[in-house]
Amino acid sequence: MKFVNKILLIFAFVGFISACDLDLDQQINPNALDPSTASLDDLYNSIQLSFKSVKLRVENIRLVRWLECT
Amino acid sequence: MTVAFTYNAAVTNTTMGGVWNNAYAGIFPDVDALIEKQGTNNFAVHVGSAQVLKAWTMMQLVDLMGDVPYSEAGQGTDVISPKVDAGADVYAAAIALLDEAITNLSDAAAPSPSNDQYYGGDRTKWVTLANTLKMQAYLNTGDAASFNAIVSAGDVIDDASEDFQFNYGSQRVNPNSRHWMYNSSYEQGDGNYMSNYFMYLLAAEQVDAAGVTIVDPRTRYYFYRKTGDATNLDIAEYGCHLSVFPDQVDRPAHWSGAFADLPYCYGKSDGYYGRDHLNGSGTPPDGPVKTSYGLYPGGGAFDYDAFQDTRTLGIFGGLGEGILPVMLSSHAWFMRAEMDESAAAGGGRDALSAGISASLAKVRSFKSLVSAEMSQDITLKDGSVVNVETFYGMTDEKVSDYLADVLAVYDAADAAGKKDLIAKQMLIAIYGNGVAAYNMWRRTGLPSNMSPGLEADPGTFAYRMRYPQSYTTRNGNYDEATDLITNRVFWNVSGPDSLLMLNAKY
Repeated sequence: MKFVNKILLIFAFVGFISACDLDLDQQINPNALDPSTASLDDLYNSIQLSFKSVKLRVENIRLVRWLECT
Repeated sequence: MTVAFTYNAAVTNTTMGGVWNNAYAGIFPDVDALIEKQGTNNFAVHVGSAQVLKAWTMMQLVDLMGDVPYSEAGQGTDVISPKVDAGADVYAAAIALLDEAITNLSDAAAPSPSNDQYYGGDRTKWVTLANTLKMQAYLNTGDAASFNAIVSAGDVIDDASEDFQFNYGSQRVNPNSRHWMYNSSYEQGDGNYMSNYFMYLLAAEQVDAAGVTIVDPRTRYYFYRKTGDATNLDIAEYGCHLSVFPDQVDRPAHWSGAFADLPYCYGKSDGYYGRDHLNGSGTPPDGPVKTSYGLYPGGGAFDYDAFQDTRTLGIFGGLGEGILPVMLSSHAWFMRAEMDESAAAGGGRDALSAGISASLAKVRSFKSLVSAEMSQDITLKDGSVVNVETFYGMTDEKVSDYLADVLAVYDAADAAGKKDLIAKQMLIAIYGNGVAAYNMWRRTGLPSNMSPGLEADPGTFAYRMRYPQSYTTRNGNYDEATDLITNRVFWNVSGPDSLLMLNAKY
């Protein structure tokens, strides 16, 4: 029985060490992204689409549109 | 701008909310992040093209609101109430940013973006666009020397292959990639009203020396009519405001003098049924009859007197595969025409001709979206068989005739008339890019005789938009006294006065 306990202790110790050694530390805050982790294509795409939205929103201001619509 | 009878009620502090958020919470921090991400890598073309978009956005904020935050904006908790910078300073910063962008775009070692939605990664076109934007800035500020220097350098948008536009798709859902005009008028909703004045401008306002109407060949591409008679609708379908029916005897009393020919309640009697300026009335059940957006630029239907209802759950016309015409070669030509005409009477003729030609070609190219309809032969009421494109659409002959007619009117006009004609042609050509028209109007007071409001006193014209609610309620530096629609943006300080002044002038 003592032998079994020793085996279990060894496994527990190895498991504990392994858990600390493996790269399971997901402590990076996903809400605090910085540019280094951003996708270049996604960032560039976002800029293009935001610009399109600006133009679209401006176009739909009724006073602006009065010149062509009401 | 909400529906209202006065300018003051129409421009609210919600009007600019979306634009403001897109700029300060979208483009500006994203461009900063792109530059920061570059680090030791070389994304100069990405950065340069993004800087062009940022600079353009900065100029648009100034064009619409005047003084806006810039130097202290986007600094998070370090500056929670950024002060506004003078519009002239923001413009200067935008021009400097365009120069920086041109330098970045000229970096031959940098790779081109693989997902450039405007120019497909062609860096030389981005440089051309940046130069054209500087040209636009100098036109607004009246800096003729700088404007002409850029034109003389030769690298500005002057060909359709350099058009800066966003291309929409034809996919209806997941995601809907169709043009907003198409979604407005070709699904279930009744869609926006067309401007009676704008329809009148194309379909009836222009006349030659003999008094014969010059119908613009773009008319049937811009508008789709659902009826052939705007004077004989159901009583419940009219929303004329001053009368039940569009009887011209009931037209506003102040629509006299220079506005005497302007139709009331419709743009033209043969089905061009829209809304008069500043008609804040409720919406009657006029969806089946009111004129819709057409083939250009929204990818709708071509008007060949079929008079169908466009509310077809998105199966009619060009399926929304239109464009957002942000800076087309025709726009650039008209900027040059305006500047050249300011320098000398008659000086804008060549650029005017080039601008009209570029616009006609652009609009005509949209026939590919409805090629089946365009190529079909139909039988008219008199029994004759005609081809749709040849009979109703543009042909080489019609295009050249129209250009000759307009230029003949230009040649015969006095100096003021020439400027007015350029402005009218620009207004027609930049359809889909209203802010350019808004700038032109404030810059020149032209075109003359644009439709006044329905009420006799709609208040002073809105020379700027109000700051959005997100700024007025959260920024400690907000000054309500500066947030009037009667204030002018810096480049418009000595601009022309309101519509009523124009009425007296002409």
